[in-house]
Amino acid sequence: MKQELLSKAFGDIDESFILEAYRPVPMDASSASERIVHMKKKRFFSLVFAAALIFALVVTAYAMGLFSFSHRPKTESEKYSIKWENQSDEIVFDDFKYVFKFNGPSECNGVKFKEGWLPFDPNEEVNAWARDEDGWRTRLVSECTPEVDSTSDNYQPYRVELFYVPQFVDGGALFLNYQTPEEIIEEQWGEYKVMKIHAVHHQPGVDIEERAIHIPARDMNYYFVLLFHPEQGYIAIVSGTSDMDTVEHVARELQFKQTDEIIRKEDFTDNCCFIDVGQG
Amino acid sequence: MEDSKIISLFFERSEQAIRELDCKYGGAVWKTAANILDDRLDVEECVNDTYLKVWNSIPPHTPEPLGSYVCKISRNSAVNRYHANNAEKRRSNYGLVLDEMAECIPSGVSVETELEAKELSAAINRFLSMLKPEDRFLFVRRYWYADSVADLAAVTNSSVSRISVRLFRLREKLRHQLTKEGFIA
Repeated sequence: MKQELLSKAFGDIDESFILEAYRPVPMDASSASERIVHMKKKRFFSLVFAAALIFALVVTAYAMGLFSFSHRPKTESEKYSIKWENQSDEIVFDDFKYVFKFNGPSECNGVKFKEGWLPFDPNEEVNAWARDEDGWRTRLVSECTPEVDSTSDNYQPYRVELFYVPQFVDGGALFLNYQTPEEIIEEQWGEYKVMKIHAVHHQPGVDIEERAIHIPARDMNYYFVLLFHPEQGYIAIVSGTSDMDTVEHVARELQFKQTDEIIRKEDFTDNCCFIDVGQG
Repeated sequence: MEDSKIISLFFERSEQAIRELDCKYGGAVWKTAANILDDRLDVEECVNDTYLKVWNSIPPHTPEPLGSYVCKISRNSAVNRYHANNAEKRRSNYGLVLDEMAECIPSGVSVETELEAKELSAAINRFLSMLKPEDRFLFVRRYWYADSVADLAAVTNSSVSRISVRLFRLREKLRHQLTKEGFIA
């Protein structure tokens, strides 16, 4: 009975949404064209930073500390699988763009962080499950706040996630899923190896006459700052749809503390994970 | 043929109305039912039920737009038939869709009465109105039209993994929204 009512609840959605999914999806043509112009300007900066990108591609190992990492574009045959939720089948990821590989021990200490600066306050209700009573967090998202228009391209202005190297040792990987890096800048911030990545998601257009679906192709910009601590074996990724200055500011002001929790390779179902600025 | 002309044929009680309806919307009606029902005979019966219901409802109704109207009838018929067939014992595409729908609903939410289903439906409408058109398209195609993830990947020139991730994000977002609106008992 519950399933029938659930099915009824989803079935009784507004007819305009049903019609919209049957007919063309409305798009804001003017904003799409502005975005294309913006990307052309960005090409210039891509060239300026080409040397940095090449440097990033040839530097493949770090000798300092217990943990090391390398990074490169995806190879043609490379793929990873993740068991998805309650589905029995694995989902194979074979269309990601960039990969980060790690070496080191199969365990390390856990870590938590506190934000020092944010462009606006997070919705604590949404973030509650990843925050302890002292305000230390394991994850932070900016959605569900009055400042964020979830229908715009800036739907997740900032987001902070933590990963641990033991998950990825012995052939695993952390990968950038859908966005193609246009600029990669490597820096050293104290103990952290830092990568600043501007990536673009090239969304293909959809044009299906028989189903009357017409969605123009467009590009969406994403910004990532990856903070890798080689001695403690964790990776903090600050990402966002806002701009690099905002994302970098959030990253620079983060404080971290190690916890007593031991993170082991065996704690993870999968030896890979993707970086994504998505909701949730 | 234009929708208004097809509707005129229904008003004239001409059987040509069914032929024209099938010609224009038969594919969509069939697909909507076939996404929910596995058995070809069930789908055929559902499509015929749909045309009969349209025949009986026009006149007096003059649905605008006709396409979504017939798809809605097809979906309702297919869902009723699915549940009548003890569907919970089978593992079909629609079974997966139902599982995913259930994931969206926080564990404390009770959907035991028609009224609660209506309230939930209103909350889903509010959620849909906040989505970007592309995301709304994906959500409605998956959870209303019950398109398979593979079909959605093909339709949007994307990959199965990419669509799965986007749907997962959308379900997470709906779950947050329902939590925010106090749907947890």
